[in-house]
Amino acid sequence: MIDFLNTYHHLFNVFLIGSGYALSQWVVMRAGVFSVATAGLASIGAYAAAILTMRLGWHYLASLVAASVLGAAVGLLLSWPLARLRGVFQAIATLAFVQVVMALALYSDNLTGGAMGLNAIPNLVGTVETLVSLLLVVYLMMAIGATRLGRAFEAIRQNEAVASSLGVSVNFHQALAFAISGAIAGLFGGLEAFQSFTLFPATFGFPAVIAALSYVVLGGRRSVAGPIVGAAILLALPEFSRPLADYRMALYGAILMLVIAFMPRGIVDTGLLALRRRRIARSSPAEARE
Amino acid sequence: MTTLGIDHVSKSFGGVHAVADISMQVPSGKITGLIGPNGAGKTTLINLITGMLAVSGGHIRFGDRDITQAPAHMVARAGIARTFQNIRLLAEASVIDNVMIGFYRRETTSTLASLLGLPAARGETRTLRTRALALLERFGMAHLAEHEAGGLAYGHQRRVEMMRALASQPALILLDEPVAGMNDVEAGELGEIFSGLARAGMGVLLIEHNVRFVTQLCHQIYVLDSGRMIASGTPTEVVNNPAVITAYLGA
Amino acid sequence: MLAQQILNGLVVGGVYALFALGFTLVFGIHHLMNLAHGAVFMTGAFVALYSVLAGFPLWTGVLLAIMVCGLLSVVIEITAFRRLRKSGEAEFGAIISTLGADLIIMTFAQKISASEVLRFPFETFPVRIFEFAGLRVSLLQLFMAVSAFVLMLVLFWYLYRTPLGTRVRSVSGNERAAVLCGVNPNVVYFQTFFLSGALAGASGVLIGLAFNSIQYTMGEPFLLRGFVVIVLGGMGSIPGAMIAGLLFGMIQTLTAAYLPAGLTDAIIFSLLFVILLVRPYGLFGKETAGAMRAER
Repeated sequence: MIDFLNTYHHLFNVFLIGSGYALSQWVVMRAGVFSVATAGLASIGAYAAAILTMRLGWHYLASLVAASVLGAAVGLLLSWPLARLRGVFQAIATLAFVQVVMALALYSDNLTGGAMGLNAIPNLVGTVETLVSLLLVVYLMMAIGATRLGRAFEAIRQNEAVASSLGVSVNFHQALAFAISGAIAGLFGGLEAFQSFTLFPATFGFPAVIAALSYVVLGGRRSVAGPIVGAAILLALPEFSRPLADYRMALYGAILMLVIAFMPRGIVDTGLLALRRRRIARSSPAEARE
Repeated sequence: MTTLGIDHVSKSFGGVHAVADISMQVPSGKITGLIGPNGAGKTTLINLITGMLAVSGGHIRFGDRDITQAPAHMVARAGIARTFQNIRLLAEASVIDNVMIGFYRRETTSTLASLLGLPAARGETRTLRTRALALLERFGMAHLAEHEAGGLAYGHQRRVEMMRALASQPALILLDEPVAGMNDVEAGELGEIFSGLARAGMGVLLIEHNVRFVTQLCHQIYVLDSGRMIASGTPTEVVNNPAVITAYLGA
Repeated sequence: MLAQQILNGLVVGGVYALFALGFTLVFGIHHLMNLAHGAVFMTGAFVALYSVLAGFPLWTGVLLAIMVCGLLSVVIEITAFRRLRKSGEAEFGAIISTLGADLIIMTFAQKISASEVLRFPFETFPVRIFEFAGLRVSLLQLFMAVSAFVLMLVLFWYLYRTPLGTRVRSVSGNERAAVLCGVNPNVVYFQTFFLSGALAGASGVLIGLAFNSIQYTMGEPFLLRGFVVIVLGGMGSIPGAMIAGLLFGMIQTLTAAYLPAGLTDAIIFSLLFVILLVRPYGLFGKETAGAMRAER
């Protein structure tokens, strides 16, 4: 029984952190930006938090805040050159950013421990802090959806020209989305650092990029619940059977291909859309045929 | 009362002139017409005014503000709204969401308040929803509030676009072929609405193919052909102008 | 010595050019990115290796690799791209879908090879070094350079001199119009994807022989570097991919030779970032290739 709780306790923490990264990925895409910078921003946050506490003796809460602020700042910096690029090229540019961060983390081994990793990080946060952080972020994301920010993001995402013609500043909002994404990634990077004994640059490489993107694609790119559900499914599935765990990468790959082919909006979004359509059809059967 | 002044405006792509040396005045409280054959440069001119295209030469003034270099969202904030020739609704959003985004430039909640989900921000959202519903009522579409905008009939989509443009209570509205594809009855209804807007003090620039529609509504008509202004004047003058007749019927 | 490094760089660059050509062929013609291109590359190396291990001569392995990779690429087209052709979000969908294909192919390779690093048996390719003008060139390097050159010539001839190639280019311009003129898009897709895969497979074999370190993960770093080449040359530009490939080969070799080893990656990807900032359509890409946002 204790073993069960222990194993799933760890998995739950992984899920909480994964959800955080997923939301960081989600918020930029909500504003119509195809950025995959989350992994790089998380890496910066993770190393910053660990180094501030271990080398400079900062209290872990201060380090977490600093990690988040640093993430936001770097995100904001990134938004400026990316403003000129379109979709696919934004993805490539942010992928390059992730690689640069990883390469620098590997190279500056005095600071980061390089390939051998940053070791003996104190275990200062547990499920409670992570859960609280996630709930806080979820609240903020839902707040966005209920206010003019969400409306602006949605307009930009669907049609930039229309958004501009209505007075919405595309550059401002996309920069804001980058900053928020960076803040979330930095925070959860810090949380991950304080739960892992060691930090490796490779943890925040291509596989991390794929993971965050997959959670959002599977769960849904519009609703707040989407990325969290996506993370839950993708992290839980390998637990159900040995073969699934062995072939984890292929499982992710198959899910990505199937989702894009058959349910491109993602599970939660598709479900919500179906519900909405049914509600409309039921309430006004005549007009529904419009 | 703000007049839109277009002063010797031109736009060229590479060596090709899309529009050259265009001058016109669009006063408030009246409907001004802009007509011309396909490809004359009407939509290009609209894009220049609204900041979606950069002007190559000339000036554009709105009231006493020079908006020649202003980016699109600043032009909108100055009080100029537009509709698009090919309807550009946010297809995935509901009708009411489409109208609500029209209120954007009038919203007062700060970004921070929105981010934190403060009561003020949520309150404004509620207010906007009510106002959007009122607007939908006026246009006879309240029952379609929650429908997906992308699935509506053509006529309804046009109306949603109109509502969205009007939601921000602009000082000037640019209508890019608003009655295209409509029958006389529907066009007439919209024409009534435009006249009402002008009577209430709004400036209206009407771009249309339907010459009869334009002559009925406008106090002044400008005629474009191949990027140049070939005629301007009252509807009667323009309709009888030989250059205009040639342009429309071909040489 | 500088000249030697440049030579080495050019040889590797030739292979990068092949890889980039395969990728840019699909992007230039269908405006879609195939993120599984790296996995196809890796498959080429694997097929050649396992053929040799099974006792076949190298040239058979090479031909087999090219065939298999061409077909694999076609399979990817059918499973990952076909449904997307009519959808509004083809660009995003293509990235995710091919990412999925990439993961699946990699997993297969991982299982088959038990995650080990594999090598060609000694003397699979005869080790012979030539010296001239103070430079050392191995027979393998010669083979790589010649292969790359020949394959590029074949590609050029196909695209610009055959009716098939003309049809392919016509689809790139305007698929609807091409269809109305009687071009069968599926045939075109088959050809372009097959070629793309064949090029990736060929580069995989050559790199596999050159560095003799074959692992299921070898596709990923190559794809990432492939991006640098493609952006540098200009997305969708055939001559761009070639020249940028050679340039990149030199940049990488020189950077690795004269700068601290750990910084190579940081420099290369910062370079990519800077290019995207300054000139996203690359050296030869058309400004209308869609890298930039619409004016204002």
